[in-house]
Amino acid sequence: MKKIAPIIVTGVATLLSSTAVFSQTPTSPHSGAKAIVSDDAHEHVRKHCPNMSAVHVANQQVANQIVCAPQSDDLENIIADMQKFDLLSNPIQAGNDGDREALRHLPDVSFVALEKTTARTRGLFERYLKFDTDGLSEQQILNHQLFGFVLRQKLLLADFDTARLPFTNDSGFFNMMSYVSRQTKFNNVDDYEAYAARLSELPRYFAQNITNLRRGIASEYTASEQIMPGIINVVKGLSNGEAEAHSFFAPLPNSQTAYPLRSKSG
Amino acid sequence: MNARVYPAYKKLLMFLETEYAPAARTAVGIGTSEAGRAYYQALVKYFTTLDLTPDEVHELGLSEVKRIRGEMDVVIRQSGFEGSFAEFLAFLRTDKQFYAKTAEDLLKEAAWIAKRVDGQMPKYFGKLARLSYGVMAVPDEIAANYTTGRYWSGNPEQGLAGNYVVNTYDLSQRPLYNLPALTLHEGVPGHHHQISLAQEMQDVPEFRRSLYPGAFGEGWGLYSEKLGVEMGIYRTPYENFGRLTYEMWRACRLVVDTGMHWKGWTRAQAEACFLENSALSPHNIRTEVERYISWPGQALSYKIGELKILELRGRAEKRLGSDFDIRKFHDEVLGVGGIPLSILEARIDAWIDRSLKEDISP
Repeated sequence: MKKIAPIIVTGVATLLSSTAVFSQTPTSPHSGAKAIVSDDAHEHVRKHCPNMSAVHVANQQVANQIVCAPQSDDLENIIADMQKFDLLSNPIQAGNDGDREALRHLPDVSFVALEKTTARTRGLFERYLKFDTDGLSEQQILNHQLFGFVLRQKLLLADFDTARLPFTNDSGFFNMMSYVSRQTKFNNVDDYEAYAARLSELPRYFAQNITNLRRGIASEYTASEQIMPGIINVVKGLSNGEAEAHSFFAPLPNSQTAYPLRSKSG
Repeated sequence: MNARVYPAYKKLLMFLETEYAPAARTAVGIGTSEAGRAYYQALVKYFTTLDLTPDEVHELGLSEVKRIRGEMDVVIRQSGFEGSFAEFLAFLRTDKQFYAKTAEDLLKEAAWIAKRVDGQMPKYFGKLARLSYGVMAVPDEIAANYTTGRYWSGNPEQGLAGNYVVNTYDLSQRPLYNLPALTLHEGVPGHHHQISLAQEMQDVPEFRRSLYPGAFGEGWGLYSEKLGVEMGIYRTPYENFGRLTYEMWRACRLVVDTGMHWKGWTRAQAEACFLENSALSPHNIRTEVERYISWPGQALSYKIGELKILELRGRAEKRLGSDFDIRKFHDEVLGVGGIPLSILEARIDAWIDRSLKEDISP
């Protein structure tokens, strides 16, 4: 893709928070760089960068300036934006990918968060549709095709508010931690503390799911009565017993285990 | 645990028992309203990645059920069993020789099959996954309603192996003759092989490493079960019948999923397809039908994907003749990670064309 030098617009930085640093080249969770995106700042950009699709501040040295990027989007950038958005809404995956902070959290499944996710997907799809594939390599064409497929798949179900029914007969938000606790890697005290923090978010996570389920009741989109006894049995099993015997407790060190639990030798 | 986890579960339990369960829908399918039918049509497209109507899927399922039933009759004759189809199913469901005595025995059998498959892999694949996988039991707290087996993916960067989880709950419902097909599907060359190769791809955007169109991934899993015949994994007519039972299971899914969510079928009609045509255990049938009730459309991906991969293999064998190389074909199918079936077809056609050109060039 032909790249056009960014245009620097000055004079609006004071309208932004001093931490409102944009990145059109979204940071990978592994990069260590920070990208703080604010909706207010986006609005200013739309005002001050007419015909510009995105804004970035290339580095901290120009943080007081807004840099308008040219209209032509870079395929890698759009894809990176999608990946960043996916990880923002999926702390389980982000944690598995090495994001330390994400290891402490469960997904935000509030209606507001879900609407935001859908809006982001629509925004990405608009950028995708405008993208010109001329001159792409074979590998880039495949990336482009698959990126379009993923966005279409997401949008295919977006209007059906699938969060209203967040479980099947054997899996869902109510037993997700059974899987997560077994697929989380524990090497040190930080890992255990992150896991405990994640567990302590269960009340918030369940409350959000209950709100979504109530929306399903209100709109007459509910699970079949055929599967409810099985679901209730599993939830009942996870609601009782001694804490130290609970499966979610299994990864935690017991009283006989000394901290820190780093790898053993010998 | 006491301050956060248990209170959250108790609150959820109360909500489910007093508020949600009484409001649960009475129909098994979602196609009882206009909105539900529109959603189901979208799900058919979502899970098959093809522009098929629910009616087309249903008809395809019926024809597959008929074909597989014919193959089953042949295998019964090969086994030397004298009696009707229903009597053969009763024999398989009750004879103790087909059931493990302990959970550990079942896991050991699964692990042994997995290792026998490992020994065949290089004959069928040019590229093998670097990540290993383990065999473990489905955790007790979720086993009763959990499916027969599943693959839990690992993470090569984090040093986490994949896991083939085997349900050891109620061993009388876990026949050994189904285990080779299950192992081929969940382990290698099925999900572990496909998913790990995708995770290990280099120089691709991150999303492609985890991209998993159901029809591709589950179609590959089912194709792997059939590949086990060529690999010599099925040692007895009973194990081969177990494979056909699993194939029938996926063909019935086409019939049953569309039956319940599109044609207004009852649960009993759905269960009859499995009971009358397969050696699946009654417990398995109950939990599986509950899965289709609760996950509309997902069950369609297996057979639709497998049929496409078989179609493409047949096309490649026909056009390349004696130059057809099974290892290259499999590497080509899996080489770029999970992809929708339309892109898979275009890629395989292009590969065949390239191979033909290479063949005639000096």
